[in-house]
Amino acid sequence: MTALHELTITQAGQRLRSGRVRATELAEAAIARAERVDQTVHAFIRVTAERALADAARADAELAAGRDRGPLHGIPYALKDIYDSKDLPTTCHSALTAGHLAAEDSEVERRMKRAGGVLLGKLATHEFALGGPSTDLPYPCARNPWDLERFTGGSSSGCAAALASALVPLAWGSDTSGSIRTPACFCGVVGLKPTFGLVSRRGVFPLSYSLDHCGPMSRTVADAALALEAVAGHDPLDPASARVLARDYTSRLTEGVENRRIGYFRRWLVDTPNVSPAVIERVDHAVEILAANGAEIVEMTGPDLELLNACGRIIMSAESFAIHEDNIRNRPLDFGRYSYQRIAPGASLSAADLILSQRVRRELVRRMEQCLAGLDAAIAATAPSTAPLLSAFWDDWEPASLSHTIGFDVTGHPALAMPVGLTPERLPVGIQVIGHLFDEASVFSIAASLESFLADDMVPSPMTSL
Amino acid sequence: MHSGVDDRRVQDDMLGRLVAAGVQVPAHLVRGVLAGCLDLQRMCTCLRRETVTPEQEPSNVFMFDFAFDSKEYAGPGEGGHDGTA
Repeated sequence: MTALHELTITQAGQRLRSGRVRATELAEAAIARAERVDQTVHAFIRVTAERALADAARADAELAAGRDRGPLHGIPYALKDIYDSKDLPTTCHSALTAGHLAAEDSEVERRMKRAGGVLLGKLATHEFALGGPSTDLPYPCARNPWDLERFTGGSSSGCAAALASALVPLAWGSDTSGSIRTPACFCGVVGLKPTFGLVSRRGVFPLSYSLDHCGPMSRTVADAALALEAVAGHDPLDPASARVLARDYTSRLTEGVENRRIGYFRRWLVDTPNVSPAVIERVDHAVEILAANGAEIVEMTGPDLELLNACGRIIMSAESFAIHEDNIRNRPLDFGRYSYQRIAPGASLSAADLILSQRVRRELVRRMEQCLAGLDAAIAATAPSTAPLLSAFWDDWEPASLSHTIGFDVTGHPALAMPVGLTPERLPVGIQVIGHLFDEASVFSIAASLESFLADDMVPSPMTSL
Repeated sequence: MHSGVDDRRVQDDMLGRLVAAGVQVPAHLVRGVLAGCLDLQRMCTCLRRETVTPEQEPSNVFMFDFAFDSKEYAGPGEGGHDGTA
């Protein structure tokens, strides 16, 4: 029988409702596992054991009384530590936030509580969701459960590490240039960057106002769909929240891909300098599997990757400097080295640079819509390489190579990262499934089909068996 | 390391921009900051190659048109999901 820590949300829900397990048992098992495994993975900044047990006891009592809040009722989850949860510190993995306690819940946390979830704790990030894996911060950086000497990807580093080592079945991350999808890729888990405006960012520490997205991370596509269903929808107090109805994201998960038209941004991958041949092989294989199961594949050149990167990076740099301006000026030594070296350059941009990037952004949205016209969805690699060694990061920060993820933060389209197998070195490779604006249902449907086709290629990380 | 970081003229130009913005970079962080500044300048050059049209002017701050789906608009009083249901 599957161990408690390996249960998906759906499986755990079935056991809860059939009386084979209690929410309290799930929480106790998760707390005990976090105490044991997280000493090496460092996914958590804080395990909220007392609160988790109280929430779980309440969930059990409600189920016993016939009140069922839905699929997340009694399910443990964790939050990237930039999300506010009332009366808990929100550290942002930084010394600059010392002493801060959240006065209110973030909107995601409020909706998770409403859905009956059990908060297990707050997860490691890069400082302010931007810096990088650093040794000069108050908390250790998360380690990749596939190889503890490797980078998790960031900045939702703790989310991916916690999922890949089976510490929780659900985590909430944030994505401004790929911060959900890159760690999902490097750690072999699922992560959704929803359409801009679909999930409230209220109560989540901002990195870049016009690029920030909140989204679920999980071990299966179906679990991410369940989480989105519980939390998506308009928040009148988030200025960027779209006035759309939350949709049904789960009923099409078994629809298959026959006669679906799916684009493939293959040139982005093969034209990347120093791309890993093993990554090309795995991504091509996933696309071939879709074709073998009846999908029509349309290879696309897409909007220019360099232009998407330039637009996103300039907006993010300008907005993040604006957010941290006072501390960059007055408390530079309280930042970690990487965060400072990534935020301060925003001060070198001119107003004209920012305005130009906003104008180009509009054009890029139009071009992406043109690319996706007539398609059900599209596929792109999540990253052109597997997780690098952490030892590559301990010097000054250096500009990264072109991101394959930031483009969809720029254009706002939904993009789900999912694993598609391992390289011969047994490191995960991932793809993105990209959809039309607010069409997460199609994204989940195609991703869930691919997940089932590739089931034999997927294995859990070595940390899962600990 | 990024090309130009060791060029004194480039260093002075970039650090001058930062000082004008009120940012005094601690000495041990200068190289990484300069690398970031130069990368951003390269990206600005990339954007300037684009031809922008009058339609792309960014004055309408009241609507991110790509974030709204008029078919599903459900504002107050129209049966919309206000997050409290």
